[in-house]
Amino acid sequence: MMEMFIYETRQFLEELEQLALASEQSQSFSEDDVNEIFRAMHTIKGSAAMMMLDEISKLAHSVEDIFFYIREKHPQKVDTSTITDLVLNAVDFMRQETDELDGGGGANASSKELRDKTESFLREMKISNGDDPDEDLRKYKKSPSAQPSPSEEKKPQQYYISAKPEKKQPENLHVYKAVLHFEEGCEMEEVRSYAVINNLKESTDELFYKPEKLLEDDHAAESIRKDGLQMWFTSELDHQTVEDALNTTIFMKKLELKELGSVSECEYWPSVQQQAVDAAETSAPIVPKVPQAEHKVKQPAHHEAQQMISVKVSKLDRLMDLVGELVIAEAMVTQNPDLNGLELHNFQKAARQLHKIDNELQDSVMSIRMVPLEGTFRKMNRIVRDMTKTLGKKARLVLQGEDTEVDKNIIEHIGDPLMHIVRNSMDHGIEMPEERAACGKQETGTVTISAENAGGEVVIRVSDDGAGIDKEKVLAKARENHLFTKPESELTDQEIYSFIFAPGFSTNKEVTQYSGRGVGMDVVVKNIEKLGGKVVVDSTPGEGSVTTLRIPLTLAIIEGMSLSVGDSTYTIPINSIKESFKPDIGSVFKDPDGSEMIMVRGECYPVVRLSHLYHKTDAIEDIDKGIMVLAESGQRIMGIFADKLIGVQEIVVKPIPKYIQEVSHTKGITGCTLLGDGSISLIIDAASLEKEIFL
Amino acid sequence: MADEREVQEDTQKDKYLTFRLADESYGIDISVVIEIIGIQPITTVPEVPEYVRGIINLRGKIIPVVDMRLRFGKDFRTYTDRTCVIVIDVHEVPIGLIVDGVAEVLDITEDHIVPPPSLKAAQNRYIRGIGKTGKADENITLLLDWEKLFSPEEEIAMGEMPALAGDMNENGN
Repeated sequence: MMEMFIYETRQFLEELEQLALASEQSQSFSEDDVNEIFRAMHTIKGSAAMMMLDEISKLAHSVEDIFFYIREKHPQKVDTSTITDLVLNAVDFMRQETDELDGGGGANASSKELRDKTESFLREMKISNGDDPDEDLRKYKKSPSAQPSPSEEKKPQQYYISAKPEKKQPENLHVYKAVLHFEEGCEMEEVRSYAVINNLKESTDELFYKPEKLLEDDHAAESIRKDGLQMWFTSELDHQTVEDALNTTIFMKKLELKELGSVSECEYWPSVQQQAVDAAETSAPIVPKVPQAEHKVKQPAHHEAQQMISVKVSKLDRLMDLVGELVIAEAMVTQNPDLNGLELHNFQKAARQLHKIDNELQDSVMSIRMVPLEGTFRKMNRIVRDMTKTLGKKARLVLQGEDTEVDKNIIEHIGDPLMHIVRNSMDHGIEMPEERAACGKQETGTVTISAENAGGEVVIRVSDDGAGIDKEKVLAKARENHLFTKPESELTDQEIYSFIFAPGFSTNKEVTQYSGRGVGMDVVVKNIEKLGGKVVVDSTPGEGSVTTLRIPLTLAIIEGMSLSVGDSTYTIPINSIKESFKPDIGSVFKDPDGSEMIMVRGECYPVVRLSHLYHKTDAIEDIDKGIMVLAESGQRIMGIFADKLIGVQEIVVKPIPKYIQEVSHTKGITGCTLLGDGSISLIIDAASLEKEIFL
Repeated sequence: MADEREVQEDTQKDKYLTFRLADESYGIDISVVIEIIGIQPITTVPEVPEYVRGIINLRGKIIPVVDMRLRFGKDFRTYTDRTCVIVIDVHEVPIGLIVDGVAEVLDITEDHIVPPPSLKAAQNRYIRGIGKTGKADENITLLLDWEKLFSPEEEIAMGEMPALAGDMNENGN
């Protein structure tokens, strides 16, 4: 129950945040946005109240009020950015509380301050738009807009909830009166009552209750507190069943359930005529909005619950292994030596079909764990926005390649590092607008986050067009903290920049809200290393800096080209291959040190013979008998020489077993994969191979 | 759950899987053994000590295999159909041990185990104890200290042994 609440609320919070940010950017709230935000807040309010999280519920209520006002009155003056602030603050508060709940704690923080702020803002907005701040909108809305006749106004209103007004009372129906009292101080009685009514609605034929307008009338809670929730209904269920059903209500103090002889004994049982009037009233143009909204809010919540299930990752791993086994088993059957030389047309046909299904099964199992980076990237929008506000800077965030899919595990671990890097860029990188103008740059800085799959890695870059890293400042601080591991003169730029990742390192003299403690970048390295990845910073003074995260994909589907070398098979990710060709004799030459090179279209590239690199003795030595693959990493290109091309196929990247990693440093190999026949192929990564051969 | 595991541990207590390696009989705690398989096609991995033969595909799982003969500095023997791979679980890391052949599962209680003498030629460091079995304790089983055998420090020590490193390069080139 609680898990569901947390899950749902988080979804809504995410949605709310994105909506608010989008609205702020467009400087207006579209009607859809208002409705969406209203709905989301309303649902959170309701479910939080059910979970007895009153602080969240009350806060949601006050924010909801703002949007209620906007929706109903269409005020002229809407301070979008303040409203966004309020919404985001509320979202933050709720997120914090849900996190707390998730961690097993109780959500006890008070939202009073936020609530007061929201309420006073709404008051001001009402005044500035010439509306009466004390007017109760919910009441206003209730009475039909076109001058309601006094008689209609006075008539006791019944809220009619049954869907079948015309239905006559069958004989086997029982008539009940129930009065339900909640415990004192349980708060949000009206929402609780609404839940009770909703539950009851399903098992009753006709149902009336008092107070009539639970959610719209602000005095409903008070009246329930005083007189209890009074209900009159007819149902086919017997006394005991009804009582049992009502007894499950949370926080119920007292229940009086009476079976009445007939409908006429009920104090409040509207005549058919009245019902018709009420029905007409409720279907008046403006009134249905609330029930309608209610309806829509409820729907998606249920929908999602059914469309998403959370599965233990270990189960997925097991499934993955089984599929791997299946593929091998398939190969063992279809390539069985016993079948050699036999003409088996029907068998071949069936085998092809099996192969196809196997492939699809494999693909879909692999895709289960893959999640696009989009969600994580989008969260950075918020950070950039908040920081521009507090720091007085101007910046925008550009996302590239956010549809890149990575393993779920990675998603979970890169949120924090990304946040710290973006913060760092905003705080240290992007200059104040005046400074930027003075340097001839656009006043608005740009922070770009990009992602791509490169080889067995996902590469995430965070770049900014700010001032770049001040080398001298970093050096001075590193000197102060005794971080040097070798003489200062021998340090490369890269090494100097990487000092910023040292724990406790900060060039800021003062601790600000965003930086200065030197914790952030340290976290980046730790988290990325946990994923087996690397962090590299580069910077050009005056032009900005780039932080690159390279994270190996523990489980990713990439396209790879398999090459055979002797009796071994190696796979090179297809996106690092530029071309492959059969070299001519004499196209490869040696320099005095014995390093081989090849000239292709006037450009000279180094040649790596896989057989030499990996000490294979049974490989082809003659250059014209093998195959040359030109692979690219960054700006550099190298020729990789192998025996022959096996083919291109989709492969699952699996990590090299930990034990092997411990005992060796395999050159240029980042992972391994299983080929269709069950044999293992080692994945060669152009980037790490590049490091082996270039200076 | 906890009870179940305790029971399981209890039934596996003092039980050792014995295997042959050259002339000796070795034993390993049955509780760490995942399974025993026949020798499989091995994919060699470059730049590893010679005793790490490479990796195998065990139903979709990639597992490193270590030749125990080479690991203990004995001569390499070509694999036959009697050669077995004992897959053990070293702190959640599966490792395959290539041995000459698997013998049986023996009950060796604590009182039948004697500590190995501390020798200068540090060869005994992977032996946790020496088990005596048979009617008159005439059969000797060397009980493997698998935890120590595959600890990172040991691997580094092995990697630094000049003889082995030299061997590897010669073979490689």
